[in-house]
Amino acid sequence: MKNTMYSILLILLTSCFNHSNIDDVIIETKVKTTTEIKYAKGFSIDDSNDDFTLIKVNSIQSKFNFTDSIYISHSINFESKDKKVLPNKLNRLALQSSTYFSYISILNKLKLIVGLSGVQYFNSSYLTKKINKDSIQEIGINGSIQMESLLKTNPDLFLIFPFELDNQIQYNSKGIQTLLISEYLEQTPIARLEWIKLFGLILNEPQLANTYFNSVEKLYYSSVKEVDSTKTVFFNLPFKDNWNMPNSNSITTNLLADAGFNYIFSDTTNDNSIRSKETVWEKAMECEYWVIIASRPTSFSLQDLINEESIYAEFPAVKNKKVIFCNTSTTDYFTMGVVEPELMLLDLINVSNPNHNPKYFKLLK
Amino acid sequence: MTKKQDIILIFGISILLIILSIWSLSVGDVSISFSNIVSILKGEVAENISWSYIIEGRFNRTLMALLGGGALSVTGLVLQVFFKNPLAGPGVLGISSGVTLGVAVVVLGGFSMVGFGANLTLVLSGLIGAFIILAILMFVAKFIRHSVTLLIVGLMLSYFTSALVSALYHWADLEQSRQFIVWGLGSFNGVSTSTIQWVLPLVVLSIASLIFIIKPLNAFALGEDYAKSVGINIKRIKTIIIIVSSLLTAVITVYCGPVAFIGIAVPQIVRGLSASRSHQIILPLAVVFGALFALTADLLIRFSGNSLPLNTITSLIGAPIIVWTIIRMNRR
Repeated sequence: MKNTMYSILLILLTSCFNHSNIDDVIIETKVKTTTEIKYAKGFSIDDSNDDFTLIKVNSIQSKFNFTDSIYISHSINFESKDKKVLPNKLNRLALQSSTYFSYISILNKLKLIVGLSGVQYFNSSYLTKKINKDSIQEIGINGSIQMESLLKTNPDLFLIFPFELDNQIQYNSKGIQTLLISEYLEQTPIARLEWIKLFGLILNEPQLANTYFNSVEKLYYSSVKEVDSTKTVFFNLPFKDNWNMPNSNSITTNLLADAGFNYIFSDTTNDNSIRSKETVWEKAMECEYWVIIASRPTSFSLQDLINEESIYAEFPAVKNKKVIFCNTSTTDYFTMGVVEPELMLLDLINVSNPNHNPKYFKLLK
Repeated sequence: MTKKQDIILIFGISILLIILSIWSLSVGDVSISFSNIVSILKGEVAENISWSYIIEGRFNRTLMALLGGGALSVTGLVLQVFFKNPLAGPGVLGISSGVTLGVAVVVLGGFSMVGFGANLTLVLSGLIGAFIILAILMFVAKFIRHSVTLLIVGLMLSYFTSALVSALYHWADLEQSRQFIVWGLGSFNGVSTSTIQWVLPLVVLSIASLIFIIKPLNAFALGEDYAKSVGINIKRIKTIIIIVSSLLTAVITVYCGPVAFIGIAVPQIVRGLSASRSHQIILPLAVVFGALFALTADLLIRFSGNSLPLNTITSLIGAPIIVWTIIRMNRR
């Protein structure tokens, strides 16, 4: 009797320390669809085998070195041993970036989100409601993940930044399946949007993802303008002595180029993206437009901008009221902007058109 | 070194300061010819309008370096006399940390304002922080015999205020934290003309007020008992030192960040340069040499493309000087 009691106690105790996930043995084979990647360079899809689809994520910038992959099973015959496989029952998603939210939103799978980092970047009423109800947990502040909060959400899959590579092993060791998402490293808005196809495969909505992508792609390219050398533009605001100019082959600069703008810091690479205030001040005097993507109060005006630095009043872009502004605190630039590049493009093309109703970019008054 | 030689030294450094200050107007990322600089200073319209703003920025930066260097050096000097310790200084005693805490409450606590109100709030909060730390130090000084112990108390106060600042980070958003971190690296750049217009007279008058306590300082340096015996009003001297050093540390730290080592290292260099122990010589020498030290550090930063923080340069020069001072103290 005593031995039996001890045995029961031992079983109970050891079960308490069992960290591994014991999934329900439910095989929900996912629909196999052929997915073609046209623009994105950061991921590839191998669907040559009928039993599975293999998603590979890779770095497209030499200074970062990472790879990741995940299998999606389509058959009960799929041999999953020693492979990273997408859970058959994907009910709980945790996200490290606000941008992933937008892809999931388009695919109507927001209810799967249980954990989220960077809540301050969201303007979503859906999210506010869910966070207030505690059905979505904040798992980190400013990209830094709080392990206990993450574990509390018990996600089936945690989508992470590439620079979380070192922590990936730690997450995996605690039974959290992860996948690196590096959509922000793409060089064009359409290539970034194409990551919706990856989300479509993961969330078992490949058709919806393809349809959405194709329609936006068509709208976007039907609006693209030739670069007008006279529509010179420079970007952003300084931080103390330094002014961060985007890489000339980045998502933002290519979006501006597609809207017909001529970026005056076209020699900018990742190595010289930090410019001094003096350099920018001097060049800004020859520039027609100024694009600012920043967080400011709702009522932020041209005069408020001049109050930040008196020299701004001398910039031709300010004098001629050609400051194009995207207020990240009142728009969904960091979230839905990722999946609505065609709207951003139309805003930029029609920035001086009084009949256009802008969503992201407008002239500062 | 005779008194005459000391005066020549002060004069020589002052001439060097003027030359460096004029030259500094041409040092920056944008190349502007000297003739253009002269015409801008004359108030003429520049070829490129931005140049007049660039020169204005460089002028303010140079002026701030001169004021900051002079103010922090002289603060370090009087604090070393006051606490009878050659290792005392606004940074070591935790006074700068007090100012940092005051600024952190405003910036990280979300009380930042714009315009003149912002300046006033920051300076007042910094000043309150500095006064609190100095008051604690003076209170503790009554109960301890060794001046080194007081430095350890200052160090502990620094840790304590740093812990409070870390706690404030918890409530701050990303932008506020970023602002505060960059401020903490130190810089003489980015000060507006309107700020200079009131910092300049305040710093100059504060330093000038110390001229009236030169004789009491000389007596104080020989010990409190000696100072009392020659009829010095100790309480009044202490009050002046506390007010002036707190004010100077607060004003400079608020606008330039907690600048390391100038306040502690420059008085040591000055004592090495001059054989005189009279503050009639040491005090003006500390002012001009501190200004030279700060301007040289700032010019090095400009040559690095503004990539090096001010505290990196001041620490690289200042830390070996402190080690040398400690070795020298132990030899005695």
